[in-house]
Amino acid sequence: MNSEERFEQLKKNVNSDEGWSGIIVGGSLSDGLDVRLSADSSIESVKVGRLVTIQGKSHKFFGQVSDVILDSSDSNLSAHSEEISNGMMSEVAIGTAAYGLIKIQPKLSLDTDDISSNPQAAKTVPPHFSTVAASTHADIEMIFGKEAPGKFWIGSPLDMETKLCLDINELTKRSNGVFGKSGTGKTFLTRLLLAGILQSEKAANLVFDMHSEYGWQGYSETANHQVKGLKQLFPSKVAIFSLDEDHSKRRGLTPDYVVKIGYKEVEPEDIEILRESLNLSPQAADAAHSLFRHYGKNWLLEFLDISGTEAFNSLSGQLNVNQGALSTLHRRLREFRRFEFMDTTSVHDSVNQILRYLDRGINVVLEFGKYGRDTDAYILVANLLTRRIYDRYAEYKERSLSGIGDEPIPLVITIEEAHKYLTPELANQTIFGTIAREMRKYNVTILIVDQRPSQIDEEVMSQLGTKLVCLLDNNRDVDSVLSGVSGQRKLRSVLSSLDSRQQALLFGHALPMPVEIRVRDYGTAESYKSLGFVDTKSKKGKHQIDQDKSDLFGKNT
Amino acid sequence: MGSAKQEKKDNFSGNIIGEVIRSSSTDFETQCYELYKFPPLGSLVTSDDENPVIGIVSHSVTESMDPSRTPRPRGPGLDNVKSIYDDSPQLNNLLTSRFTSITVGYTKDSSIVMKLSPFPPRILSPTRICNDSELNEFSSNFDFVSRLLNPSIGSSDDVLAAFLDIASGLKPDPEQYLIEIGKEIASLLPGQMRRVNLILRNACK
Amino acid sequence: MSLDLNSTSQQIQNMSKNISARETDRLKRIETAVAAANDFDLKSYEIVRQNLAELGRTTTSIKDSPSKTFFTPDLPKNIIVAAVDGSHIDVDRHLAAQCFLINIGSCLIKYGDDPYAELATRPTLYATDENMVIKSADNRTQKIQGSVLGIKRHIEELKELAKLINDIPKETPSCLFLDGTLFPVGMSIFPQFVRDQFYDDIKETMTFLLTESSHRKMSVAAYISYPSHSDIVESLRMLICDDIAGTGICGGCVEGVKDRDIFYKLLGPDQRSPVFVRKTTPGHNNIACDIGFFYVKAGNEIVRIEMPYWSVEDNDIIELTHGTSLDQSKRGPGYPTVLIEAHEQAIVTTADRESFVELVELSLNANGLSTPTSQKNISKRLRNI
Repeated sequence: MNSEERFEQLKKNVNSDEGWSGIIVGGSLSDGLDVRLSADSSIESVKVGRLVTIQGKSHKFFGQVSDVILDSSDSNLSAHSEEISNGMMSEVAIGTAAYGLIKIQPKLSLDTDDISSNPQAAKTVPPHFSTVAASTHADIEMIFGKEAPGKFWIGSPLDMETKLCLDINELTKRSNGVFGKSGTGKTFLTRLLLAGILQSEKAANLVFDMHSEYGWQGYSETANHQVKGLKQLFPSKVAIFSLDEDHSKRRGLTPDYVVKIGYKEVEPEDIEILRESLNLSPQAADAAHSLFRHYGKNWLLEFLDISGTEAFNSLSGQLNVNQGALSTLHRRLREFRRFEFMDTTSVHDSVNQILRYLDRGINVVLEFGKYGRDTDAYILVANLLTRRIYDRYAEYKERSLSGIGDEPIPLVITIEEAHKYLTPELANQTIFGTIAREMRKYNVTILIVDQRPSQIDEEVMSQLGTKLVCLLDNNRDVDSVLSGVSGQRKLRSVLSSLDSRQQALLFGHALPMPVEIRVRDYGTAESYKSLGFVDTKSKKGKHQIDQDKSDLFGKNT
Repeated sequence: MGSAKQEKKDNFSGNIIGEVIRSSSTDFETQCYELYKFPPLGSLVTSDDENPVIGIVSHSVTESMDPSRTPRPRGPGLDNVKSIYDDSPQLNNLLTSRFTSITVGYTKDSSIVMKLSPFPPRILSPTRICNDSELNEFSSNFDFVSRLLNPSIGSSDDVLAAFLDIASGLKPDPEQYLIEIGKEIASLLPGQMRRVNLILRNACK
Repeated sequence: MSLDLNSTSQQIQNMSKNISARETDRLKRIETAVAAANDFDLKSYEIVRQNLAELGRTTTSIKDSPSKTFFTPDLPKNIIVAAVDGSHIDVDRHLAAQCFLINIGSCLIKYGDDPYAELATRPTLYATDENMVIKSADNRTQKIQGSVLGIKRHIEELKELAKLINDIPKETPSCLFLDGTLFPVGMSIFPQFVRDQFYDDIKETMTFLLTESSHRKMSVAAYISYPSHSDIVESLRMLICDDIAGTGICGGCVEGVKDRDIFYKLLGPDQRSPVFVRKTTPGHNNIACDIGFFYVKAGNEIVRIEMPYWSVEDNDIIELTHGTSLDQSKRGPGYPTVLIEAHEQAIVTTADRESFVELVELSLNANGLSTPTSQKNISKRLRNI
């Protein structure tokens, strides 16, 4: 082969989009493969995290760039660096004596002889001198699947314009988590995820929308403008419930239902999970149970009506509860009076209303309005409602198992600020902990959106099927997110090198391999359209109007 | 003797400069028709017979034809070498210029094969300096490099550099050519970048 | 066993002592000769010469006093100098084939504009009965070998020298050199028919050269380094020796003194003596024998230059010969370049001789002839112990 042919051959092996290719020169499955870049590759175009395809003999391997190394075959290179770095010589040295070496972590392999087979976790490595190049669009589709019903385009692999899809069916089989420091795009990612679940029609969402940003108009910090909420994109598939009607109305939204919680609906368990945020001692929290036993269903209202030292003394005596604890509890629960959504009406219909929508496959977003700033209110309401909904689902499920009625549509409950109530101390007591641990026993899963995963109970974390993680810089948060995942060390470096915006590391059951993505755009007209949004008002953009004008009257008018 | 030489001078066509006087599989030696009329170091030459063998000039020597007679200095006081030769014209007859060419290939069916020739050139085959198009064709394939880097060849790096100096001059982009061939050299000399550097530096004018 | 150097060395030392003792006498005699040259009287010499001529004795013709000196003339810018030299491989009676080889080397150098040189060597093998033998009319034969071959070679050299003229343009002055004497010496011991044959050959060549020299500026010169001639000393003796004058018995007045001894004293650097002429027959030119000669001081030695008799009449040719000889000798250095190169071309080395023998045997074998060789010859080649 003469040099020109060889050069042509090399060019063919280079994924033309990327400008680099290499061959395997060593390595191992556990420590990754060493890939020497071809002489004409540009090392600057190789990025850590890039998905690569390795053409083995009978298998195609897929992996990820985990490190980029400058290596040399000449141990004296640094000693002669000055003379060699000059002009022509440096060009000669690059790719020969001084070359780029990249580390590839093999993740998947695909039997090329068996077209029907799916990518499997790599259990071996490709042979020496196998060629390595950046994965192509086709490769990505082969691994993650094509965009299709049930396959939701969540973003693109870094440095690629390929649609990377999540398997929504797999995703909703378990509870999941979206993590990231605040301001890293958790909300956008979550919103997309919700849209994906919504679109798939495989499950319904119930979102406890703490900051009122999922259902109706969110705010993009990067683009500095309002973005559409789910209701705006999918009006017929989303119902917005509100705790704060005024707040909703101020934003031009008429909620489908205004949620009220009756005092009678509050149970001692609801107080228990507020223990931390209300700063209650265990004794004080226990006192709620005593009160419930003493007063019955209306315990909260009756307890709050008590006033005066004598009354407390006598109650303390009756209940055999420390008076200090009792008065602390009283003081804290008095805060509930501020909650306008709470009233004395004996039974409210909120749970039924929510279920009614969910049964029809309509997704429910509960906006907290001004109460979003009040963690107590959020925890109280989310927990209270979820517990009841869960009970109902359990009932449905058991009935369907007995052959009575249909199986309930899987429900995904989105909760925020989970580190405040899924702490190791409380996780066992909250309904969310139960749901997370149970997988989809009763067709209910949770989607945790949180910035401090390290504070969330380890067991809950370990039960999460798929994690979508934006930039995290606290080591403990990173540890907790990655605990139990193979290849932690590599993922850790990937995680810490993520951009602070619109990038995320995805791993878990919904993906064949961990992957870093650039999150799909959200907020532009185009992005809405690609999500299936049809602008019924068919408002023409300014540009379109200008265009129409010029079409009608000719230019320069 | 003189007249026979004259005849050859008159007959040679183009770039024939001498005849093969020693021949082996790996190199061949040519005696020049005229004193000092040898090709520069690194030149591409070929034996001009039915089995043309291509070589690169690796060593040139001018010395007394009779090894038992050594040249006698004419000085001091003579600063012009030409005047010495004018004054002693017999020097042109008593001295001889010869050059050795490393065999780097041969021509078969009018295409270049970059291997040692199955047969070395025949003694007294005319030796010819290759023309530009031949040199261009030859230098476009890098397979000759490994042959020139053979440690058995004395000062092979300098020969290679001299060849590259000549060959690169014919390329549209000499520097690019040197870079490409430099990579070939570097891959043949792993861990010897300094040496590669020296070769390339010597190949640059 | 090789030469016993110990024993030889002793004898050499004795010899040196002996020579040294005689040297003082010799120097005295040289002084005598030099004084005679300085006092040379042309008329007295002519009288003595006439007397001796009447007795049938040939003497050297001296037209100028031997003490007269001549300076170096200027040489023309463009000049061609040519020379021949020869060597031979004699008949080897141990060899299967009877043959001899004469190898003539020649050198021609052009100085001045467009200088060049031509070197050539021409070997000739003599192997047939016709050319290995000289026959008389009455069928007497003389094998050419040994000293006869030496003469034969000398004549071949002369012939080759004559041939070089073909390579010399007429308009360029030229000087042809021969190494040693102009004519062969020592022929007197050969039978008359052999001498006649040789003289005829020489005459033919010399006649050609004479013709050529009439229409070109050309000199023919034989260059004799460290000559042992004593022609002039003999002539001086005629004037000073008591024996010859009849006034007494010669006390060895100039015994052992050579011409070179006196001219070494008489000549300054680069100077030459007058030209002297030696004829075989008084009053008659013999083209194959008669010569003119002079001595020249080239560097640290006296050189004798011999020329054909006709050259002595032409002062230009004498000057050309004088100048060229000196110039060539300086270039050598010490000995004419042109003769050195001719010699180098002619030389037959020991290795060449062995190769020659092998070639002959190979050739004979190739033609189906067995090559019986004498045991002595084999033992010479295989030096076993």
